Amino acid sequence: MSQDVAPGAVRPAAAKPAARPDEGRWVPYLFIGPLALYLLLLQFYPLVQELLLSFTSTSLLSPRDHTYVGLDNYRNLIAASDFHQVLLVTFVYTIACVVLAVGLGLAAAMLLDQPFRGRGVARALVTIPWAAPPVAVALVFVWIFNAQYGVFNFVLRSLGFESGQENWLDSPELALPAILITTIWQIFPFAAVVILAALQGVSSELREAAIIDGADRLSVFGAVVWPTIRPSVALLALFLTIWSIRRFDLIWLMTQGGPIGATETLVIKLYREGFVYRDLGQAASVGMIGVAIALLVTFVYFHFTRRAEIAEGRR
Amino acid sequence: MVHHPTRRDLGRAAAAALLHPLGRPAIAQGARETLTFAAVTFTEAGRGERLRAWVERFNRSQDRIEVQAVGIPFATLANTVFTQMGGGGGPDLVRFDQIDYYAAVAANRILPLDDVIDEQDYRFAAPDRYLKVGGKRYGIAFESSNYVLLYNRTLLRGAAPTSFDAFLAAAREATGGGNYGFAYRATMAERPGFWQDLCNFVYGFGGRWSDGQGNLTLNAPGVVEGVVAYKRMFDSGTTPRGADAATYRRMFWEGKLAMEVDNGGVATIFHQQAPNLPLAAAPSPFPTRAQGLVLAPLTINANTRKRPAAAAFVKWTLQPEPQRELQAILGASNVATVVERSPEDLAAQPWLKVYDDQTPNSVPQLVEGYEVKTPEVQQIVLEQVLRVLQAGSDPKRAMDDAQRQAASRVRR
Repeated sequence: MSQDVAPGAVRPAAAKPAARPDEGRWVPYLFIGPLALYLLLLQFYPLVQELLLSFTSTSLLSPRDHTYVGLDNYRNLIAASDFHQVLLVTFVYTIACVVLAVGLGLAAAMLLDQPFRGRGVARALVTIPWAAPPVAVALVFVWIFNAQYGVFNFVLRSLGFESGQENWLDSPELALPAILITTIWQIFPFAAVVILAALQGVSSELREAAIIDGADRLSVFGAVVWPTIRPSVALLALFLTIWSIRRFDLIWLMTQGGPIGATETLVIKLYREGFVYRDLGQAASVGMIGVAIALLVTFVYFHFTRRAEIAEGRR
Repeated sequence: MVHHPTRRDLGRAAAAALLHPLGRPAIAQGARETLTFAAVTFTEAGRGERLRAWVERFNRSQDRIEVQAVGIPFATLANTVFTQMGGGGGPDLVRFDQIDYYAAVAANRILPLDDVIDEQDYRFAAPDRYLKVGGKRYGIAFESSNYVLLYNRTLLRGAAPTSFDAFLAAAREATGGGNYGFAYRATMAERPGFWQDLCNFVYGFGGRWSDGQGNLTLNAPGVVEGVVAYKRMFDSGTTPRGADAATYRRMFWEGKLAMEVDNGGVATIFHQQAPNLPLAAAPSPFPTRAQGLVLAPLTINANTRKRPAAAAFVKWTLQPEPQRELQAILGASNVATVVERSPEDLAAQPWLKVYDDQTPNSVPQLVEGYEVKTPEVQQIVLEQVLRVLQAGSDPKRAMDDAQRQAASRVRR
């Protein structure tokens, strides 16, 4: 129903609500506040402390007595040839972990996505290694890789390999592969579960349409499945990268970074400097390099994610 | 006058009863001062329980002080206690390993005991001389232990070897049928034990890690000969490679391992766990009698607010009867003062005498003059020895590298 108003007549002013502050504007801060406080107190503050510590000579036994040494701790690291090996081992270990865990996880997820009898049980079984405590896993695998009594060598001998007496964890060539086998065994189920969840978002209509159009399996995967799961896989790769850079328990328990530095990653180096040599300043400098690498990886991830979103017109 | 407990008294009693592990009547102990005593040995199977009972004897011997035993595993004791000390706390009494003792002294984390102990009053055992730093005493030996060759009389089939070549031959002869001739550590996963075993070989061949004058001697002839011997044993095919100490020690008391060079504490555990084992001991079969020494001092935390009570416990420990009891618990290890063994013990365990006779030849497993830097030198040396064992590096060249790296490291 319309209301006629005579020309020239002045419409009575609508009753305006009294100017009140927007009651809802604080709500986001209330939600973000605790998280921001947590990050400031338990992440940012310790990080700043670590940075300051890395410019000092500080003993674990007298953590309150600092001597400012400038960049000496960083110079010591750069000058030491073993630190170059630490960086190389960290790089190889991280890349291998990410590539193999994602690859195996993808294969396992694709298999578990197929309908078959006992699929629910199979999905549950796959997650068991991820749920196992790393300490227990390390101790079990130390026995599995034992030269004389280990199952691994027993299987190799049974398969006809003559060199079934390998001393896996004590050999400079084999220790890192042994650590990788253990790590991948434990982490690939997580990758499988994440990718399996992402696969549930793939449109079955699109998949069927592609098949009707004559696309083979590889083309369906490349044109339909991969674009859908790619963001999840990228995020998974980021997580696996950061977790691999900072993984300590498995490596320390199995080899303590040995033999001859063959499995010494940044975190093992940090622990050794801080708690074996009791040099907190030097340990902090190793930690800051680790933080810088993790930040770089995160930056690269967000850079490529942003580029992909722009290319897809989502930004 | 009858004292009626106040509400505060009752509260204290309830709290003490809840906190006290044995749940003894708390009101009677209300005035007692409680000390904590941290040691690895309280966690050991067999010896741990007996040591706790020994501490309880002190608690029963007087009504003023209560010492509570705190067991911390070997791998974490030093870091746990040092972190607590760095924060201004920590246990009142600590049994350190020697490598940590010197670090604690250097950082002023433990108290000098010169005003607590009058040395004229005691007859200290030989290793006591290693507890003085800069002329001051910071601890008493809670336990010291020597290394000798332990062997299974049945598996060895003959007298104990007296030379290194005879040792290798005996190990080869005893290997086979699931048995091994000898076992030692050669992995970084057991770094401290690897170092102890290496020290025995190096000291046995006349080597030392320094000359005591501030110069490292990692590439001196005696050290290189010790490393060569370590490698010869590694290549002999007589050792269960990859087996950790816990495993091969179990193999020994199960009669599957013929020989090992180990300390008196381990021999005591063998004797307790397998009384029927044909256990025997002999001097280690190296050119010289020098071997490593395990030395674990009892110390007082500099942060303690109960210094007189802690000192009272240390003085009680040095009394003849507690020393005798402690010696009986520790078996083939020694205590702070000289305690004569009974003829019955020596007759029942003849290997005890071999351990006791080794005492004058035992040398701490430290880099003399660089005690605090020992972990860093240790890491460098062990990595080079692993190159010799695993990668076939030349022992002399490897130890030259160790000398160069360690000299640079200790200067930092």
